Amino acid sequence: MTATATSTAARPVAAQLHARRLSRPAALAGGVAAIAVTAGLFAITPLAGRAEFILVAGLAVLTAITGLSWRVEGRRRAVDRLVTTAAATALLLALLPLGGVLAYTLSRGLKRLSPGFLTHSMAGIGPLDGGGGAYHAMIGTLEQVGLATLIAVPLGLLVAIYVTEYGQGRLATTLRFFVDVMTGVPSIVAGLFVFAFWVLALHRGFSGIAAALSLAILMLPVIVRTSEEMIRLVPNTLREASYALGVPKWRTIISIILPTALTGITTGVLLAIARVTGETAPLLLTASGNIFIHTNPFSGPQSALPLFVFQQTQSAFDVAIDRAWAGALTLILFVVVLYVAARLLTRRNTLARR
Amino acid sequence: MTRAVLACLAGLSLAAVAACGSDNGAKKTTATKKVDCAKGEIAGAGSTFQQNMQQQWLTDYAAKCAGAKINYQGTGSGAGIEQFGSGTIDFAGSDVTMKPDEQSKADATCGSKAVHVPVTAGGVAIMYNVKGLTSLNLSAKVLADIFQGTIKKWDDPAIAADNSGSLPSTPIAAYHRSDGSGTTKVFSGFEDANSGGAWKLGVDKQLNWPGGQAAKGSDGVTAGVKQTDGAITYVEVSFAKANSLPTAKVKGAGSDFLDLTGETVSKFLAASFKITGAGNDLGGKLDFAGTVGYPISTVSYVIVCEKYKDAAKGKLVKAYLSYAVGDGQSAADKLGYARLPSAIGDRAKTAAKALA
Amino acid sequence: MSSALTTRDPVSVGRSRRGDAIFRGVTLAAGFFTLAILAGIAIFLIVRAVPAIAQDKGSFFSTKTWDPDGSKVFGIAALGFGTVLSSLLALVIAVPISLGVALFIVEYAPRRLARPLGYTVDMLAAVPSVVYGLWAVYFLLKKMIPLQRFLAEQLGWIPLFADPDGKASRYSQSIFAASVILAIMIIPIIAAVSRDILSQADPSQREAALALGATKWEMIRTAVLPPSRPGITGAIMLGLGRALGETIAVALVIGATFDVSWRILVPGGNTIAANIANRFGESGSLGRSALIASGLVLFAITLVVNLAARAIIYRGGAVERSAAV
Repeated sequence: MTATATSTAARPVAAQLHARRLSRPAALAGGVAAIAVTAGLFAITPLAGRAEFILVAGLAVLTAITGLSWRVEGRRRAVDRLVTTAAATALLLALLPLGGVLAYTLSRGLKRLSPGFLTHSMAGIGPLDGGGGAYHAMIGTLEQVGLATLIAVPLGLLVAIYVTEYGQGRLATTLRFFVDVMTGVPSIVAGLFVFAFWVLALHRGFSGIAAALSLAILMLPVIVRTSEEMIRLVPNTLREASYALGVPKWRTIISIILPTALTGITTGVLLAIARVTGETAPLLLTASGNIFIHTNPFSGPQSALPLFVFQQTQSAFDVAIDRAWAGALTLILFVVVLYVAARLLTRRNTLARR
Repeated sequence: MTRAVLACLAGLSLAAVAACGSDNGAKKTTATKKVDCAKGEIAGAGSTFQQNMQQQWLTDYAAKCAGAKINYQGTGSGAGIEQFGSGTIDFAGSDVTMKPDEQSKADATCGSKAVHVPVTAGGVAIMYNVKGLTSLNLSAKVLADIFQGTIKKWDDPAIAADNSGSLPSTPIAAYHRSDGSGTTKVFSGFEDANSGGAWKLGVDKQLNWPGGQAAKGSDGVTAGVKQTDGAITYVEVSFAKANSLPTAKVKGAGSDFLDLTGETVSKFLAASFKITGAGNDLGGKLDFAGTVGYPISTVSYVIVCEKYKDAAKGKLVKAYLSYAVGDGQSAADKLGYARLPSAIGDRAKTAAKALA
Repeated sequence: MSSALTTRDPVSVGRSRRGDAIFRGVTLAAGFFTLAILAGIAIFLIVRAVPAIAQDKGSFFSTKTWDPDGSKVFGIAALGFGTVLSSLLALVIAVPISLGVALFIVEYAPRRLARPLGYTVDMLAAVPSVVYGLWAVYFLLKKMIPLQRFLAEQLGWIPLFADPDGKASRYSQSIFAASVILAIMIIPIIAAVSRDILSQADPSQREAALALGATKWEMIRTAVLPPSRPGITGAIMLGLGRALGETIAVALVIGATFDVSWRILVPGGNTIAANIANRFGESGSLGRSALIASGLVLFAITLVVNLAARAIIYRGGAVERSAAV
């Protein structure tokens, strides 16, 4: 399929002039022949099934084109072609299920996604009623993720500043190691921790802030790592120029280094937000869920979009399943908006690009 | 107020919606019947089995009583008991009675006795999806063999013995729950008492299944059965009704083949459920060997404090619970639950009235 | 050596010393606070886990069953095995695909296509796991049955794909199903990080390789891959960490049995995180503590994974970590 997609510009001129190349029609013919052989094989042997056919046919095409190329162009070009095809196949294989998830969610979610869905809570909705919406869950998600960001960003930024600008020797290395270990804390463990520590031991009960704390634990290492990376990209000449003007180090960091790295750091923060917005497991233990619009995140159970989705799917009735998919679609849209914002910011960030 | 406005603005920026959010999702007409109303906010959590029932009650109650905000989350009976014991919720829904250590923890949190009150009942349906099969009789013994994997095809002589008409030779795909569930406990309790020793897996919320296929939640097993020809599972009856899948007539050791209906479930519980608690504590025991009514049935409780530290909360819990075990019982039919048998229902009403 | 860019203080002006000391102190405090949170998590897990393990009537590390509330016999053997096996299989599926994706985006795709492709892959890393799980239950599991049958029929002679009772051709809630959904979830992560790392390879090296007449693949093999190896290993370890801890999606697709079996197509299997999700709601007090004990084991596994990742990434001082995850 991508037999001749390789850009010719990258090839050494000498090779282009002298080597025999596999022409596009020849490659195409080889591919078609391979598919035909596979079809024949499926007709006469017990092999059957669509998925199997695609699998076998794919392998056959790969073999045919590599084989042809080997005969015509030699081993080195054949291997090159094989890798090119394999990489393109990998991309297809990766995008297929991912596209499938999005398409499926869209097709099922659009059925129920409406202004009414986005502006109403689940209050007054019996198990068989078709109305209701996810407004209360959207409020919950916004507040919880917002609070988590308020907690995790300053903390993470300070840690990143320490590690890059002040930290030397063993302490900085240890800190960086443990920040990386923290990246691997499973989300449900973070939820269990906040549940035991905040909800039970401190008698705070379920609340949006409890959920925010568990999300902040998950965001913190991501923010430290991304900010660290961005601060590192600030050219040393900027620092030196500032010092030369007699500006103290802390002011240099606050007024020169952070603003320079700001767009990059913002990208990292948005990526971290997008990552925790979809967390379900810790919310079950910390926010608990609510059917009413509950705007106070500091006390009382609150809903959130992932919770809403998870809970609606547990129902027997189609009205709830439809709500679940509409909620899932809302959640994905939310994440997409964040990503687009993050990418628009990166586009302007000259430091992060090369 | 400012916070609400801020929240609205946040909602606006998220979805570009022109109106501000509302709790008034369904414009309900207020009912004519007089209900004992109380105001305030209470939260409950626990049993997923009674979640639909709770959702219906709290919706109806709120429609009748302005100013009552009741919230119920189906987190599972164990989690509900834990949360009630640690004081994070005001009442728990549970399919089981508390163990002694849980009871003492709950009593300490309440500052009074924590009591079980039966609020609803329901049957576990044997739901199947076999092409060409619309009616099916299954005895406890045959079910045991199906779910333990010894009967492998639908035309097995053991099944044929109880059913007239032809059976397909489709292989049987038996689905069970992969998560801990009160439904599994009820089904295994029935099998243990009725299969004449054929059931080897004991009685619990989760079992060591020798085979078959597992899925998470009632929704998971239902999705599995729906997708598989020859599949069978045990599930809350509402899932069978909502998905238009047929359910089998079931026979215990001493009973006849019976359909699952509100009446057959109530009949079974009236005969086989014995309250063992003292005073207003209506925790009880179910004798699955009972021979009257549909035998895979159970009651579900609400756990409450006899006297709440917060009198306003106590008042609302009392009013809500009184509604649930009183007028609220009529909602059982359309949701696939069964009404409490009158003997149990009367005691539940008395218990609810005694709360403070 | 850890932070090459750190600049020593220049000639310090007296009055700026105080401000610097305060600011440094604040950042240091933030660092210690972060360490305290991590220590808090570890201590909490240990405090809850140890009494539970003490009450275990089985052997916590070698018992396969999980029955803390009934017979008090429970152990991590089957769960730990399933966790590691499903995650490793997910890696086997995800690594070649992710690297192919990263290579394609960095080396092969036309520039106009490369950037949107990169964004798409990044974005997919944040699709909520509950959505993946739902999609699997309602769509993927059914579609996987033919694939399972094909594997069992054609490759059944390999013990891994053996299917003695023909169950794999009718059911799909298996370790294999869990691995596939995990792979789908971690592909964007590994691909995004690897893409950043590959694109950081020294352009002069590439040009040199091409100038010597190398084909594109030869250029990649000699000039791009060797310096990227530590970074890619780190990316893979990140993916592994995510796979090990994934909860909801796995709980929705796995068969949840408690045995140690290499037959990945046969319905069953279980993981630590999925078991917590499956059992937490209906557990009694010992049951919950036992689940937390299993969480401690998971924490330990992820710690080891991160240790290994660090060891590999920092070997040779090549610090090419990415900002994408």
